[in-house]
This record gives sequence, structure tokens and C-alpha cells, in this order.
Amino acid sequence: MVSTVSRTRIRGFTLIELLVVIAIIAILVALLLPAVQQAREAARRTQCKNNLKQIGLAIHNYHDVFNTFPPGYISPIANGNTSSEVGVYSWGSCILPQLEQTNVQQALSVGLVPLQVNAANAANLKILQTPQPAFRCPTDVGPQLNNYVSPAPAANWYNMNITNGSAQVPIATSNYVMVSGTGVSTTPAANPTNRAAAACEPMGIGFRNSRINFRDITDGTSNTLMVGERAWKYGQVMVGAATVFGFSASIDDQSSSANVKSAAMACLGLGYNGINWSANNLVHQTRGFSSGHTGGAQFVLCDGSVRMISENIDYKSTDNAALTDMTLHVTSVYARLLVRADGQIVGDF
Amino acid sequence: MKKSGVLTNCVLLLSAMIFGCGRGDMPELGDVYGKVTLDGKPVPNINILFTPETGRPAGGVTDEEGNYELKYLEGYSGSKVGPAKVTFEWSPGVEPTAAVPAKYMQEGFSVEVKEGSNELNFPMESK
Repeated sequence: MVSTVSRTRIRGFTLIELLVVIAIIAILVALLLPAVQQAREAARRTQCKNNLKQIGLAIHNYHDVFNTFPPGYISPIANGNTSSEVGVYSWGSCILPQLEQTNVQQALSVGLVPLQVNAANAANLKILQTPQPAFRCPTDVGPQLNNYVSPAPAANWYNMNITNGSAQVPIATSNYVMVSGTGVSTTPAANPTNRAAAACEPMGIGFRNSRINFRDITDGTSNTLMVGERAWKYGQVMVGAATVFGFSASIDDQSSSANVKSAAMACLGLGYNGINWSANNLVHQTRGFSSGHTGGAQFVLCDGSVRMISENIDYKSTDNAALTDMTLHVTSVYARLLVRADGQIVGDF
Repeated sequence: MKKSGVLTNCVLLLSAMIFGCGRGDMPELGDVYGKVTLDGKPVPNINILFTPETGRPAGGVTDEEGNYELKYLEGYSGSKVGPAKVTFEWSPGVEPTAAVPAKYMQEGFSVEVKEGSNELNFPMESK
């Protein structure tokens, strides 16, 4: 009796089965939606990593040709940091041939024709304003032409425009800045001529007229950062990224004690208070490294490898340490990575 | 009844996926706020910096009444839990609002940041 009933029953889906199927489909869709956005950012991060890798290789090729890393920036005036230095080429201009932009470098006659003269020439200004994708992080939201000017209380301190002799013009934006050293102050990290003492030698890879060789990186190329990221904006913090070709030491009374020091932040970066610092000093964090990626900023090391450095990395502010002895400023893992010859053990990072 | 249960599950899963994929190596943070005074008077516009033994420092800046609130990262308030050294500095380009003695600026205070909320006041004396 019982068996005949079960045999005659029509097979079908119960309500429970149907609901389970619907639930599984809903979960799959729910999995997909945020994953797509994560995948997009992962792709952008990878492309940024590739850009840094190319820059690292370009710098190595530059070293093969000239037996030195490119100078952080080329300052033609002997005593430096004067307001008459209105057109200064940075390391980005130097490695253009290694990034297959030889024609750009030749058209600008980098090193022969001053930057401000190129900016005054309509045809060459167009070249300076041509976006350089190799220098842009795809995650970054900044404009193609960098017109960032820092607001009060350090108005004009960081002015990414360059001058053509009579007016300010924006040039192509970059998201990559060379490691100039650790610490907070731009003296002497970016401009060693400001300090004569031997203990004050800049400790990074790029600074004024720098000629750093592989031999000079005694900490080891795998333990020293070379070029890192700077965002246009992260969260609500504007820092203004960087420029590809160079900067002007003085625009509109650039309000620093030494113009070229702060202007050099258009191509150089410092440890500052750590990666993506935003707690105070809401203007001067332009000096540091930052990115729009979650969790840190990417760097290419001197050996050519690209690493994501966590924003939670050990860092001690050395604001109050004397500028006469730069070894006092190497007290944390991040600082040891930024400095090329501190003689300290880095450990895991 | 059943359908709403499934819906709730989906919403829970979705939010777990959106908020769950956070920053991997974030340390434990404790909220920190308080007041900075010199001889009983508030010190506005001074930067306050909490440096833990290892890890990333946290900072803040005082308002007109001398009150500060620490920020660890953009969108994250507080400081790393554990012992920290507290120092002060004036931002370049900011006019100092009080003659804070060098010993406070450089050596500062040693504090212990605990889980949850911490009220840490820094009464300083010019003598």
C-alpha cells in the first residue's frame, strides 16, 4: 500500500529545494559583485608595479651607460637653492631614452636647453604637456597636467607648475619620485649644499647633482629603496603627486627658506612620517610617499625588484634630531630601507 | 519567512566580503584624545606625535581649546596599543602659539595606550 503511493507520486521540486537553488545563485552573484571591483584594483596595482619595474630597469640601463644612477635633479648653479634657478631637469628627463622616449629627450635637448626655455617654446611646451603613461599609476586620480599648488599655511611651498619666464605652466604628471633620504626635513636630503658637514651627506639615491653608483649602496641593493609612489590624493588628503621632467625653483615667491629644496619634492621623496601620513602637517606630507592602493605604497628597490611596502611599517619620527648628524635619523625599518649606507640590519619588511 | 532568511544571509555575506577584505597587517588600535596645556592655558595648533616601540606613529593637532584626537591613518583614528613616546612639534610655516620648553618637545612623555578609549592630557609647565 505504502509502496504503491510512492510509485505513483509525480517527481518535482519541493519548495525547500527551490529556495536552496535560489539561495546558491544569490550567493554566487553576491560573490561576483565585490570581486569584480577587487579585480579591477588588483589589475591597476599590477600595472603600477609594471611601471615601477620598467623605471627600475631603465635606471639600471642608465647605470650601464653612464656608470651612475641618474641625478635626482640637475642644478646648474653652483651654490644651489636660489630663486634664479627657474628650470631644473629631474631624473625623469634623464632616463627618457631608456624608456623608449628618445625622441622626447632629443626634441627638448635635455641638458642643453634650459627647462624654462622649452616651456616658453610653444612646440616644446606641447611635448612637456604630453602625458607619459609610463610615469602614471593607474589607480591615481590626478590630472594629466600637474597644476598642484599647496594651500595655507604653506601656500606655494609645493608648486608643481613650472615657469616659462613670465607665467606658470603645468607639465606632465608623474606618480613616481626618487628616494632622497629619510627624516622630515628637506635639508640636506634634497639639497646637500645647504649643509657643509660631512655627517650631513644625503643618504638616499637621488638628490641635487647626485652621482650614486652601485658601489655606494653598501647596505645591499635588495635592502635599499630606489623609486616610490606618490599619489595625487589619498582619502581626503591632497599631496599633488610629482612631475615627469623637472621643476622650477621659484614661482610667485615660493615661500620656503630655500626655494629649490621644497620645489625638488616634485621629483624626490622623503621618509617623512611614514607612508600615507595624514594625521597632521596637512601640507608638508607632500614630501612623503603615498598611494591610492590599499595598505601601502609600491617601491622599486635598487636591485630592480618591486615591493609593496605596508603603511604599518615601523617608523620613528626624528623631527627633533639634529640635522648635523644624519645617522641619528636612521632609527626604524623604513628609514633603514630608505638609506643606502647606514650599516644597520634591516630584517624582515 | 524562509525567503527573508535567505535574503538576510545574502546581505550578511555581501557585507562580510565588502568590509572583511580590509588591511591585513593593521595592529590593534586604541582611541586617544585629550588636552595639551602650558601652565594651565591651552596650546593650540601644536602637532602631537605618538611613537610606539615598533610600528607606525600616530599624530594629531590641537584645536583652539588645546584638544586633540589622534589619527593613525586616513579613516582610522587612534594609536597602536602599548607603550608610546609622546613628542610635540610645530609645523613648518605655523607660528608657535606658546613657548613650549624644549624638554617637552624632544623628550616628551611616556604613556601606555590601552584598548578602547584613552583620555591622555598633557599639562606642561614653563618652569
